[in-house]
Amino acid sequence: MDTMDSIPGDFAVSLKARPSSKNNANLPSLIERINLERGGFQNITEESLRQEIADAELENEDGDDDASSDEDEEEPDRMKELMTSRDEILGQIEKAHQSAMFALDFVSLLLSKDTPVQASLSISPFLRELVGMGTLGADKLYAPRMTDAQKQDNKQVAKGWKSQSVDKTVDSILASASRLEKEIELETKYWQQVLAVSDSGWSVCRLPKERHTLGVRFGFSEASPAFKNRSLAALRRNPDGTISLDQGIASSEPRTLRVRIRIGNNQTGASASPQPVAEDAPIEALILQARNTIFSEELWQEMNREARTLGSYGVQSRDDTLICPLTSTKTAVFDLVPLGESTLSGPDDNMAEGVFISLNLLLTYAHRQNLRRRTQPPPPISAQKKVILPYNLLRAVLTRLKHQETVGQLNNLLGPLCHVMESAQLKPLPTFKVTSTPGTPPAQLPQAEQTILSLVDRLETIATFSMSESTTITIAARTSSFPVGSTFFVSLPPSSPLMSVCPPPQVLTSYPALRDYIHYFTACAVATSIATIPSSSEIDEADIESQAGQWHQTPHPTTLRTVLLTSTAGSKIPKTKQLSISVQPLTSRKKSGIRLRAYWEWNGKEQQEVTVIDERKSSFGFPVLLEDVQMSPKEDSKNLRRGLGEGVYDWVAWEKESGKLWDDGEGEVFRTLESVLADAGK
Amino acid sequence: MHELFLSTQVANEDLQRALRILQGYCGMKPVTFLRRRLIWEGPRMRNGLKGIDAGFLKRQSQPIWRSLHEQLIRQSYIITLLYDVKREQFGEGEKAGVQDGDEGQKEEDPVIDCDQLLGILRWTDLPDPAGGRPVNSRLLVNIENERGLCTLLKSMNHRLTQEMIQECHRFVLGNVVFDFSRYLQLPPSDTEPVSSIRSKLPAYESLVPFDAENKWVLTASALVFNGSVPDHMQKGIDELMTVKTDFEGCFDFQALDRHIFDTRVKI
Repeated sequence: MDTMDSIPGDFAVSLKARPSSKNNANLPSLIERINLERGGFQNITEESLRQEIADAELENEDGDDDASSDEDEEEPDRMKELMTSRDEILGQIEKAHQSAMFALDFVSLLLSKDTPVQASLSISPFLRELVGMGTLGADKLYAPRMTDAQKQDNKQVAKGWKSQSVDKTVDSILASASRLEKEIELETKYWQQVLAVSDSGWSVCRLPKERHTLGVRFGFSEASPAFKNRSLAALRRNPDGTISLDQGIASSEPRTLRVRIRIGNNQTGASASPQPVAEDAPIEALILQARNTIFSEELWQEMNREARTLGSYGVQSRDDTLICPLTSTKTAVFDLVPLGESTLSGPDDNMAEGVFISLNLLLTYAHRQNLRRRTQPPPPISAQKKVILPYNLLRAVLTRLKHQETVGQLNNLLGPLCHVMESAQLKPLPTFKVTSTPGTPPAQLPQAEQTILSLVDRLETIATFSMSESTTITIAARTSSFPVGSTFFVSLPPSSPLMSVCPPPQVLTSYPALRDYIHYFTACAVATSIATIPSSSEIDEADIESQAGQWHQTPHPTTLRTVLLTSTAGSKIPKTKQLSISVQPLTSRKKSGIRLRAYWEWNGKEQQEVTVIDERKSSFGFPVLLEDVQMSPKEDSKNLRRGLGEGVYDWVAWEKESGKLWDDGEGEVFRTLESVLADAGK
Repeated sequence: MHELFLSTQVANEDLQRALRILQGYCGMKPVTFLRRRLIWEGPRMRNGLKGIDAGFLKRQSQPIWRSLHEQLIRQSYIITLLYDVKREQFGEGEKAGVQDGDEGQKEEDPVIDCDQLLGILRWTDLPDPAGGRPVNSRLLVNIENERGLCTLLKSMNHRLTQEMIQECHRFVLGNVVFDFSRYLQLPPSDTEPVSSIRSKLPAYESLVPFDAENKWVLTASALVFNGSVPDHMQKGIDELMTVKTDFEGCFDFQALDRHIFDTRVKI
């Protein structure tokens, strides 16, 4: 079309281009257009024109009001326009053809005089018949007015045009060469960056929708399908040659999971939140950030899915956060936050960070399990639907924390017991040991999976408590995931004398039940160790003197009896005394403690007027308030009217405020059990 | 249970490339295993077939034995027993012999007794006639993790006719299992009589490919629990057809002539 531009406007051109600008107000062209449009001026009157203008204005107003029908009408108008233009072009071509045929006929007729053979080939039969061959002649009348100068001029002009065109060609070639060079430079840069991405381990592939564009796969192959679909990002070339990551419609701001620990309403710890990568950072950093974001989003989704099944453990979903009680005091709050949010730090930061890391690891482990499941030969196609259970993320964390809590509980149970008995100088001294060994997972699993399994599965703690060599009780505590909780299996060696006295229940499902049993067991053991005469033998009336001062066992395992020689004159009835041993937990405001109590009283008719101390204190299972303990020595003399020869003695151990060491109460020095027994026996 | 399957061949030179292609398609590394295939021929009788011993049937709790028994009563078949073996077990007899000299004490050669091992009993029927289905389809009974299968088959008057080693690479995608298999023959043994179950396996290198051209057979298969449910069968067929079109130009999966897989005993 360049040649068209160089042809001056007054050259006759057969094909007329469709008039594009409506501003061309030449009269001839206007007349022509009107002729074409309306087929002449015959049917046009002023009135009809004014009417048309009015109609057109109305249409425009309507057009503004409903744009949608306008759009619909645009389409048919386009079609109509196309059809009319097509018709016009065809008409023009027809005209051009006709003009060309006329010209051919004319020239043939002209030539028919001089070269009839050649002319007869090209003349149309119609003209030949109408006019006849050789009926037109042409002759030179004057010499051509083309002077040499003009000819030279034309030649120069022709040369000028040629050189202009050549220059233009050269310029355009140079321009395209330099553009190509720049393109190559940019492409090289792009490909270098793509190679760098691929070399750093990311998987680069073609985009399925745009096959000529490369993309990088930054997601996880074992993620759920919703996340797999979003795990492909296009690597696009910027105008300046740098590479950019285009995540398409799925792009979102980078986010991460945040774990906050709360005690009551106060926040005591939070997990660290990384800073977002800058816009102009290397592409690998952006890809890594995208991967971390999609991982966090998947983790968030799976946690929410799991939380719906954990309602019985106090897990709630509120306002875009998940609230999960971790221990009796601490609660974790989870939410998905954009990167870079600063959080306050506190003493429980490590715990929050630990929970965050373990949730991430557990999701990766769940991915591994997905891989294992899908690479095994599938079951045959049947009506059974495949149900995908939620992953065990929070559940595993809760199980682990429960296990740790159980270990702590066992330590807190047995430690103070030993301490209390130490303060009573019980011989031999009791000992305890708590060991927790991780289970061994199947060896054919990879190391990483074995590690996770050993932290979460088959958690067992074994505690042994030895009162003496022959009485060792073993407590096996197993923490399970379904449901989350600890079960205690208590066993005594069958040869132990206590087996008949207080046989352990096989299975205990709650810690309070275990604690109660262990306290009862301890009291029985202490009582048994004091007693020198078994309960089976009767009190021999005749041999009272030799048996005096010694304690007999009674059918009630924690109660002992002794016979005393009377000192009052006249009464030959021997008096019997009863001694009860009990072990109970104590709680007071914030401290907890344990108490070993020895309580002795007369047994028999003549002591009936003495009221017995509140029975509930000697039955096991009721924690007693500090106030009660402090009151009893005072009450001794006033309210309870304990008779001579009766009394109670407590050995107490309290948990220190730091919660770590157990200590005697208020620096008191306790009497030994022997001296107390001696008192009791008087 | 019905097995729907398509087969194609892959030359030995192309094996590595084929494995890589399938690794990308299925998104997993192949699971490679070696299996001993013991091929037992049923009694050469047309009538009076006894099937499985009644006493044995009563002791079995799984109904699958009964369905096998029903098939074996009406027709004598070739049954295959499969035992997984490890690469290290090949040539163990020879290796133990070499080490003996130093110790001065004769060690027990590791003897493989198939009855003690867990094996798989596999019975397949002649595939159904082509009909409208673009895939091969046949009834299949697969009993896994059983001991004493050799004794059982002997008691059913089956004879061991052949033993070969199957080398297999397996991929799984959805409901379709891809198996690259090659069958290797054991060389004739000096120490053990013919047609008895070998107690020692010769060195792996001495095995000869069954097929002269050393080709691998690639099978894409899907199992359907109940072949009479048309929806399930159609689902399996659709998955296999998707595999076929996906691999057009790469592997040519075909439904072969059913008589290639004929397991009926010819009398």
